[in-house]
Formats: sequence, structure tokens, C-alpha cells
Amino acid sequence: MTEPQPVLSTRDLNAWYGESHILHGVDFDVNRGEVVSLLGRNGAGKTTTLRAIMGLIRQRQGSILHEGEEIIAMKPERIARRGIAYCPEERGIFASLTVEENLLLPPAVQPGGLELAEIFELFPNLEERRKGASGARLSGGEQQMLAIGRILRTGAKLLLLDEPTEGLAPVIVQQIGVSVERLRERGFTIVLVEQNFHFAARLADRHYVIEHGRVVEQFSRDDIDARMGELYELLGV
Amino acid sequence: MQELLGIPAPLLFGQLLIGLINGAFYALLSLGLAVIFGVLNVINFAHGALYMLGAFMAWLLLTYLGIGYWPALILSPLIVGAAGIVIERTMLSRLYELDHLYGLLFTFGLALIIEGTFINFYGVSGQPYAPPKMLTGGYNLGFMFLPTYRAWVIVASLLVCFGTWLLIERTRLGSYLRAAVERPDLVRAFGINVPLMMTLTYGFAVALAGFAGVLAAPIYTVSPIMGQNLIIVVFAIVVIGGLGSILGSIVTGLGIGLIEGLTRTFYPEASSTVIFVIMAIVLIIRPHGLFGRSRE
Ligand SMILES: Nc1ncnc2c1ncn2[C@@H]1O[C@H](COP(=O)(O)OP(=O)(O)OP(=O)(O)O)[C@@H](O)[C@H]1O
Ligand SMILES: [Mg+2]
Repeated sequence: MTEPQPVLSTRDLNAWYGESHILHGVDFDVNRGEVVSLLGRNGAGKTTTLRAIMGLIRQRQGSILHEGEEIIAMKPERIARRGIAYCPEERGIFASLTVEENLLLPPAVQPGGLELAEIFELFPNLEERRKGASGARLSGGEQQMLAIGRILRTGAKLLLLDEPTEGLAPVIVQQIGVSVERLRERGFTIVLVEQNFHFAARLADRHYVIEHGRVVEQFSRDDIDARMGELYELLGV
Repeated sequence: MQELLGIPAPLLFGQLLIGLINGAFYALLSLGLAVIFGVLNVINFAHGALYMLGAFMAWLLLTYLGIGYWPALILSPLIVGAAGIVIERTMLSRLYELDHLYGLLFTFGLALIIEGTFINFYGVSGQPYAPPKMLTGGYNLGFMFLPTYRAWVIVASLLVCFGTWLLIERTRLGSYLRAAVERPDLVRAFGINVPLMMTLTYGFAVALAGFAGVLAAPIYTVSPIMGQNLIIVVFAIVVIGGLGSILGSIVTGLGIGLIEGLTRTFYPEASSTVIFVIMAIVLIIRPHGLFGRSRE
């Protein structure tokens, strides 16, 4: 039997914002059905990594393989159409769109997306707020649910979630954790960027620690308990 | 003779009608400018020249090919829209990465080139263009005479403005556009081809200017400089209404037309400056315009 090919793998991924060189060779792999977390301190380059994968950073170099195909030179809309969906750190809820328009905005890119009813089952709050006049009127938690919910409709199987728990109350964090768990059960592959290490530790199969634009360490679910001190050191918690 | 506020009624209503006609053109043009600014982040100084191109296309189609008003009302905006698509794809789109000022300077230069070319061949004096047979004559409303063609201009431009508003505010395509105004990068990351949308938006918005040009041809003479005079006022309207607001630009366009008409009746000396006085006041009190949202 051959090694299963990773869904996503980056090699020597470099990225720049203008003159500033932010990513200095990020290497990581994500296998089908896995939840992989990218951990790291503020400004380490986690968001930049996700944006580079989505093609949102123009100056990028190295290799990004998705399903074995090189996507480093592709435009964002083509990358999205391959079935990669991105949920940004700032959530990206559109104020000039109603809640429902926000939810229906991302077009289906592949068959097999969740039905609206299934999304409302994951996030019941969204159903209550569905008729809202503007996405901007939702609470932070509701916006986060909307931001995740809307990419589930598209049929994308690889989800890039940037700090879905940032600034949210513990009960909402809990609810989002349950949803991510359910998405994994449904076969989604998830890259989870997190500052909230405890949240990530419960959900992710493997963790990569990013520092100054590089992957500096890797932990698996099994060795995380034994190496907790090392991890705390790296994250500065 | 009937009088209103010391002014003979036919005179007052006549001026209001002229105001409404001008307002209809203001609305069509400022709507296009607002859409272009919203989606492309470009202040399209070529808008007046493309309005002129619309009128001239109608005149050229008639003069050289014998194609009349009704087909021209469709063909001419299509030609202007196609020209817009070529301009956006080959030139304007290269400037998005640079400072706003480059887009503005480019479209300003483009306006000079388009207008200069037509002046070179046709001079500035202007060509007459007759309204279609069907729309000649008029109605006596008792208090005033309403020429049929002018009534048609008001109805047609209001319909087109309202249709555009519906398209942007009430359809799925419109939701893509509104989202792209806020976060073009994110909309692309959802798999929507935003650069293509920008091209089509520019084409559509300048086609609206072309449409306004054809509507205007039988009312004003068709001349290479017809857009120049208009566009300054239209920019003032866009500032008053708030850059980027669709409904705001329609309402402000019509409103300013009427205010101009009223001023011409009661204090003719101020009729051409009143708009700029309003603009100055609005800028002081509400810098984002009457209907504008602040960006960022
Ligand atoms: N638009 C930008 N222009 C220039 N530099 C930027 C830009 N965005 C981010 N940076 C810089 O790039 C570096 C990495 O930022 P990034 O947002 O990827 O960090 P992060 O790991 O996501 O941090 P956080 O946990 O705070 O979200 C930081 O030093 C940041 O200052
Ligand atoms: Mg970040």
C-alpha cells in the first residue's frame, strides 16, 4: 500500500508584505480527515500562512500542493474552486449584506455541501437571526458562526479556520468546539489556527508551532501531554 | 394668468420640468459614477466623455448607417459599454495597485483624448438630432405644456435607475457586488471572479452613461463638449449624495435638478452656483455626503 497523499502540503513557503519578509519557509502537511492546528505567538505568521495558501498574498514563493497539484501560482478564485474554504480571523461578515445574503454568498464550488437545515442544526442561533437586516448587527459569536456556516454550504472539503474562538465567551467557544468536532466526523479536513491552545489541544490530531514565519516544532495528540512543558515554553503561556 | 408665489404657473412648472430632466441625467450619470467608485475604487473622470460618446454614436449611426433612435438606444450603450470593457481590461485594471490618483489622472486624460478626437473631426458646434416620430408633440396639462419626448426621458431614466438599484440591492449578483465593495479579497477567496466583475461593472456603468447620452441627443445638441459641462455638476452631486451610495446618487441627482430649476425661477443669477454652495455646506456638515457611509 502506498502512503496516502496529504490533502495539503506546503514546502519552503515564503511570503512578503511589500518589503517585509514574513514567512521564511513554512513546511507542514495535512492528511485527509485530519484536524491540524497551527499554533504560535502573536505575529508569528499564522494568518499570513492561511492567506498565502488562499492566494491572497501576492508575493509568495515555495510550494503549496493541494491534492497533489501545485497551487502556489493560482489566483484566489481558482484556489477556492478546488474546494478550499477560508474563514478569516476578522470573520469578514459583510455589513451591507443581510444575514441571509451573507450566508448564501459563497457559491457552491463542489457537490456535497451542507444543506441550510444542517447548518442551522450546527448553529441554531443562525436560524433565529436569519432575517437580520445586516450581518454587522450580530454578536461576535453569531458572526463567527455565520462565518463558519457560510463556507460549509460550498462543498469545500478543506477548511482553513483562523482563530474561530478569538474574543468569544466560554459557552460560545464550547459550542464552536462541538461544531468543529462534528465537522471532523463528517469528513472535513480542517486547518485550525489558534491562540487558545486548550481549545486546539482538545480538537486537533497534530499541532505545528510557528515562530518568526517558520514551523519550529510539531506535536501529535499522543505526545502532547508528555511534552506540555516544551509547548508552553514555545507559546509563552 | 395663474400665479404661484408671484411667478406665473407655466413658467414655474416649465423650470421644474427642466430641472427634473436635468435631474434625470444627473441621476443616471452619478449612479454610474457611484457604482464605479464603489466596486473599482476609481473616480471615473471619463464619464462625461463616454456620455458624449453615447450621444455621438446615436448621431453617427443615424447619419452614416441610417439607424434610427430606437435601435440606437440599445446599440449605442452596447458600443460604449464594450469600449468601457476594453478600456478597463487593457488599461485601467493595471492601475489598481497604485495610488487612487493614477486612476483619476488616467480617466481624466482619456476624457481629453476622446473629446479631443471628436472635436478634431466634428468641431464643437454640435449636430442636431431629431426625436423619434412617436415621441414628438406633447400634452397640454392645463397649467403647462409637457413635450412627449421629455416625459419619456424622465420615465426611461427613472426606470433604468430603479432597475439598477434593484439589481444591486436585491439580487444575488448584487450581493456579490456589495460584498466586493467591502472586501474584494475575501470575495475572491470564496471563488468569485472579482476582476471579471470589476470589468463588467465598468462596462455596465459606462453603458448607463451612453444610454443617458442617447436620451440627451434630441434635447441638447450632440457636441463633443456636451459631457464636459455636465460632468462637473455630476461630480458635485456625487459628493453631496455620498460616494458609493446607489440610492443616494439617484435621489440627490433628481433633487439637485429640481433645486436648480427652482433657483432659476426665483433667483436666476444663482442657478449655476447653487449646487456648489450646497456641496460646500454638505461637506462641512456631513463630510461623507447625505447618504454616504464612511469607508473604513
Ligand atoms: N498587511 C500587512 N502589512 C505588513 N505587515 C503585516 C501585514 N499583516 C501582518 N503583517 C505582519 O506580519 C507578521 C505576521 O502576521 P500574522 O497576522 O500572520 O500573525 P499571526 O500569527 O496571525 O498573529 P495573531 O496571532 O496576532 O493573529 C506580523 O509581524 C505582522 O505585523
Ligand atoms: Mg492571525
